[in-house]
Amino acid sequence: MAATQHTSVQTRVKRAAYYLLLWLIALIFFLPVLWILLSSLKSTDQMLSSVPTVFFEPTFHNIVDTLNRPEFLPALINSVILSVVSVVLAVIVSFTAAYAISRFKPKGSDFLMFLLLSMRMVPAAAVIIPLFLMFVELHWKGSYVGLTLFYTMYSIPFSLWILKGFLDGVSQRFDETALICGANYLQIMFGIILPQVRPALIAAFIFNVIFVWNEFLVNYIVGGSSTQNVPGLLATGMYSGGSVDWTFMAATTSLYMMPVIVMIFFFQKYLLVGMTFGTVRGEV
Amino acid sequence: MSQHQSLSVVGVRKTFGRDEVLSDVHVAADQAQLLVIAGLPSTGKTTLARIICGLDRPDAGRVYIDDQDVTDVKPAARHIGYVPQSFALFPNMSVYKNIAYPLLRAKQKKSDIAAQVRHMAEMLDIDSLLDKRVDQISGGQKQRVAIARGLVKKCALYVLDDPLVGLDFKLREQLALDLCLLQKQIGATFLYLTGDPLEPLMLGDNVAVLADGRIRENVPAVEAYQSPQSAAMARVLGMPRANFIDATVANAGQTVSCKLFDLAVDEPGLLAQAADRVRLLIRPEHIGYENAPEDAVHFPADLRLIEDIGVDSILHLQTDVGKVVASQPSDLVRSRDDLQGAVRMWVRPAMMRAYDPESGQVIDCTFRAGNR
Repeated sequence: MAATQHTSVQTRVKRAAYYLLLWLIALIFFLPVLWILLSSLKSTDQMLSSVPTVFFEPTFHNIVDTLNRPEFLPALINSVILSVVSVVLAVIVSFTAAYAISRFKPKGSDFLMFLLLSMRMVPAAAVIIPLFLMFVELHWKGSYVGLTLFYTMYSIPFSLWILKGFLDGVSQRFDETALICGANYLQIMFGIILPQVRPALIAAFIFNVIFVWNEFLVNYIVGGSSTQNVPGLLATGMYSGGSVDWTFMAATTSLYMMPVIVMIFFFQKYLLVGMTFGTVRGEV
Repeated sequence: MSQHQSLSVVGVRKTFGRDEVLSDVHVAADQAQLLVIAGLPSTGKTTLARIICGLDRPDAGRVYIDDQDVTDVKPAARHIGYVPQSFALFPNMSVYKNIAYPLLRAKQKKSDIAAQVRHMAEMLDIDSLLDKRVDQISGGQKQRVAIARGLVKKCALYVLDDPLVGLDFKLREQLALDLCLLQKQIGATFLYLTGDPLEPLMLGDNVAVLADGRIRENVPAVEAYQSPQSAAMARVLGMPRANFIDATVANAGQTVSCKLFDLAVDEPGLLAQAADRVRLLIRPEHIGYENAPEDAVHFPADLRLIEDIGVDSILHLQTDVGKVVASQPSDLVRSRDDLQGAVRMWVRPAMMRAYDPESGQVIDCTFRAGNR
């Protein structure tokens, strides 16, 4: 009896040590985020002091300043429109494409799937100049349509992969039974199959929204002042009076992170689904 | 002109890669008939069902429903009620929505749909479940819902692909009975495919047996068990499964012998013409222990296992011709504690049937005990 108690104390200490270590490592990665969040609540002096101030009187001055900037709200609206519209379009296209590939297995679909994903292997910087020339030629420079279509295209491969993985896991007996019941393919796809892959739809949506939300390069180069998103605003608005406006940067970044953090918090279980391409179904 | 047929399958062939699943299937069901297609596992029952429903296209042959050629007609336009082997209930819908689905797709009026769903649910005793989600009900209830969905729409033909597979015994019996009554009530043609050894006898007006890619026999259910014309039919019906013993024909068809016993043949002519080897069908219930009737022949066996399943007990015997299964009343088996190891069994030659080992067709002849 005494022996078992002894081991249980030992395992508990061990477990506590492991958790402590895990928390420490996690905190190291969280530090930059914490720095930004705290900085947004500091005054310029506190923020730039060579000895970091840990305890301070928080001020909402920076945040109010950012919100009052005339460029901020339009940029935020642009971020929302660009990310939501393009990703919704991408998910719709991906779902229908994934359904076709999963159910009818057209020749060469494996290669097509690879080809699409390989697009994401090209660094954005490598395509930005051709893309710019193309957009100028098409008169899409600085237009919502152009940017939205680019982001849609860029979001499709990943969504297609997640959805294809999931659709392969949904038995074709559903489709066939519905077919005999008199349903057409649209009714089957959207009435019967789509509700069964909702986790994959959510995962695809979130992953791509995060990407488009934080996209800078394409927005900056082929977008225009009217389509500028918040990352673009950060780049152009950070300089004031010949120096970097640190408090603006911290406050804007903190504000801009919030919707994504909230979204991730509520949908974390779907993110795991996305990272495993539907191969680990889990409890969703 | 022949009688009106709800379903007629003519010369259907289907191959998957090099695998010929159906080679030349001919089968027909009369109006309002419950036709059971029996077959051992993986003999192509589901493939046949899929071809009839239009999910797969046959490589050759035609399918007629109500005398219309539907071979190239889409599944939805065939107007078939279908109960799939896997329930395939739509998990995002309630029980009600599932049952109503075929009617919704047929664009019927809301009030008509409600009445029909309720009526069907009452017949299958699931009217209390209509508001539940599909994942909240048990396996047997799911099966009832799948059956209700398959039967709710008025159709000329209903295809039920092994709808009771995987359910526990008691539930099977009850549902089989319900289905039988339902079919009589609806008065429609049912095509029921099953691998179960007893369901065809319980349910069918007619039983057809599918083996080696062909329909071997299509006869009224009572004849199917009593006097199977094909070895395939004998093999697929009855629980425990029938025994087959290879035997040699000698003396111009006058005797048939195997390692266990010799038989004399009445009217040896047919047998002499037919083959020099035969396959003998022996039903497990025709093999006994003690109290042998006068016309029995005896054989030695090694009793490996007694399976007591209630009224009857199944005796698993090892003999010189391989495994043999016998079925005896449990009262008799339980009263004999010496029933183990080497035993002497008897079998009645008059109850045996001979089949051509090549064609699997019955060879008409009667057996008596021979001299050994």
